[in-house]
Amino acid sequence: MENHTLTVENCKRVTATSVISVDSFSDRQLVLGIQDGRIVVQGSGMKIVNFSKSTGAFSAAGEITSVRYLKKGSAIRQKLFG
Amino acid sequence: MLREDLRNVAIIAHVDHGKTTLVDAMLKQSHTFRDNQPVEERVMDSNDLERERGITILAKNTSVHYKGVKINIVDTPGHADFSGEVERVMMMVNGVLVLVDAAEGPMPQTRFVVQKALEMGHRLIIVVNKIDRPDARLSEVQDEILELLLELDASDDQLMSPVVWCSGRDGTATLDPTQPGKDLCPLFDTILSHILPMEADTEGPAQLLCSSIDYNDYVGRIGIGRIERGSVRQGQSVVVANYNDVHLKNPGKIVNLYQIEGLERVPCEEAKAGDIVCFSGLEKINIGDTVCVPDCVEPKKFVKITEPTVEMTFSVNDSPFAGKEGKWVTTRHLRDRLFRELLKDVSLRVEETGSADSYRVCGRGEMHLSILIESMRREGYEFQVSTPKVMYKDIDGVRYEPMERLIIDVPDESTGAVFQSMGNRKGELLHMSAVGSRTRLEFIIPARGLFGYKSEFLTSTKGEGVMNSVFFEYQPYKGEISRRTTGSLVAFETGEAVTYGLFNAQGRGALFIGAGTPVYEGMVIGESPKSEDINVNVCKTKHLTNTRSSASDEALRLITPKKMSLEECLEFIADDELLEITPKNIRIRKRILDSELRAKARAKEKKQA
Repeated sequence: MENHTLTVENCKRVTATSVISVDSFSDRQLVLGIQDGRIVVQGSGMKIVNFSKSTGAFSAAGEITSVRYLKKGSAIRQKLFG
Repeated sequence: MLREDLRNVAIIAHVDHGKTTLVDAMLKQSHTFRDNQPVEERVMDSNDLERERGITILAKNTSVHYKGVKINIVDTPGHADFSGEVERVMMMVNGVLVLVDAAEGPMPQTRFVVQKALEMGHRLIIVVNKIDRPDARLSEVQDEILELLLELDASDDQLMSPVVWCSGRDGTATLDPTQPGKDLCPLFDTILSHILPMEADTEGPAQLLCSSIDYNDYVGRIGIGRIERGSVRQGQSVVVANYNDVHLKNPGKIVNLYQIEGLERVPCEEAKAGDIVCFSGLEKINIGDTVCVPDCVEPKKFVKITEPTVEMTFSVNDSPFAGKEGKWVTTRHLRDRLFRELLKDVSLRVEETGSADSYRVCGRGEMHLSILIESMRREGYEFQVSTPKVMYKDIDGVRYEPMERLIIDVPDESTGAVFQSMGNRKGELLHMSAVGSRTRLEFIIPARGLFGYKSEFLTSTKGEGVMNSVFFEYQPYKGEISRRTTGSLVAFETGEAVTYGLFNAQGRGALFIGAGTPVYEGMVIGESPKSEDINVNVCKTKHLTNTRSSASDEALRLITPKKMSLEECLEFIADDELLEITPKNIRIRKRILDSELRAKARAKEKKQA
């Protein structure tokens, strides 16, 4: 994960770099694609503020409760529901 | 020689950003109309289809005089599907006014057309229009324009383009948004100062590039274009040549020569380099041809027009009701009309198919072809069309398909629904940003994925969403996209639909027709929620006996039929269906009308699959 950074401010705003894609999005969960896998951000009232595929910059706002990194190949369903 | 007395300017903008209204105001303020002369609302949109849809389809020329300088104004089409017109117009002008709505900001069509203008090195004047709108975002829009120019690698000179803040409706312009304007003089002055006069060689051998074509029953074909070099006289003998076709050398004579004054074409004896003229007498003149003098035949390079990406099959109407409503119904009528359209529309392509009754028509999008269909329908033509398909390409054995850049602007709460649809239609997110309480998303999506999406999009965003797409490039095939999941309700008897029959049919799905509508076997009269087609008999009347009288029919309540527009019908028809177009009606029908033959064909298909 070269130069990938992720910051969460006061559990209200998440900002990340080197994001390749936004795989799915709802007001309770965001799934972002990065080079080596995925990031799952969960919370409530989630709203994507900015994303640019060319620069890889991403930011979203809402009540953030968890951020989870998933390696490539690990099934999301298994990780989410144990 | 510097043509100080002349400026040739095009106006470029997105659909509905007020381009033609601003031209109307410029014409009024330059006294082209006498004060007491009644002026219709949208002077430049001459055909009613354009007025109804509020978009410019054909680029038109007009001119005004300001401080002794003649300003030729060319209005360009606002919709991405007509960009063949825009590219040609760029050849006639030296500068462009880039019109942007003060609330919506730059949208796809603006991006596409500004890119064409920048590529040709034209000077730009940014006109932020509709500043009288309550939801105007003046500073953000200015930043968005700068961002657009940066993204399109504008030169430093183009980046420093002047900005004029206008209200086309009120006819005012100002260079400082905080100071309200009184009239359009700031705009006229900026045109004179920023758009450089053309450097024209009026002595050399004549060279006139034809950028547009018109047709008139009296003088025949009229070419429109700018004189690139030398001068042209009425009655002069010339040779027509083409840069891409070295063998083309048609001798001829310019019978009539016109210049444009206001909205009229005024005959003139002579015109010189820089002037935009109309000329007739050369029957074989075509867009992209150059008119030269016989002793110096030197055709001018012509800008490459991007190719069509969507095709449909136009064929002679062979339904049971054929020939009843149309004036022009035969294959020769259809062929002549389609090939005549080619003369005026560079982005269109018409090819003959194996059958003498059908023609393959290719255009730049669903809207482009639906406007051609609507125009022909109003002229009295009767024909049928197939469902739109994209035009694939094979490059090194790999199947490529056309991709579109789609910009969507929706309220926040609809973002999820749009994301969902885009996932199903193989759209790839490029960019997403919050714009006030709305979200702007940018996708790259297969053209095929956009078929039928417009109505779904408006439903999912409760009519508040704005979507625009423009051709991006060809990319490898993205795989299967499921189009229509519903089936059709098909009438299996010819006759007239009656309430009793419709009442039973409406239980199976949404109906498109009401009582009293003539139907024929194989005609699609509704949509069924299941994926299979259902044959229904809407002509079935109630079996009358001494106890069941006909009067009790009134008790049956019919749900109001869903009236489908031409675009909705084009989105709805499946591969095994056709759209019957007549001046009075638009009917959907099955390719195979007979229900048994249709069942056999489907069974055979399933066996092969």
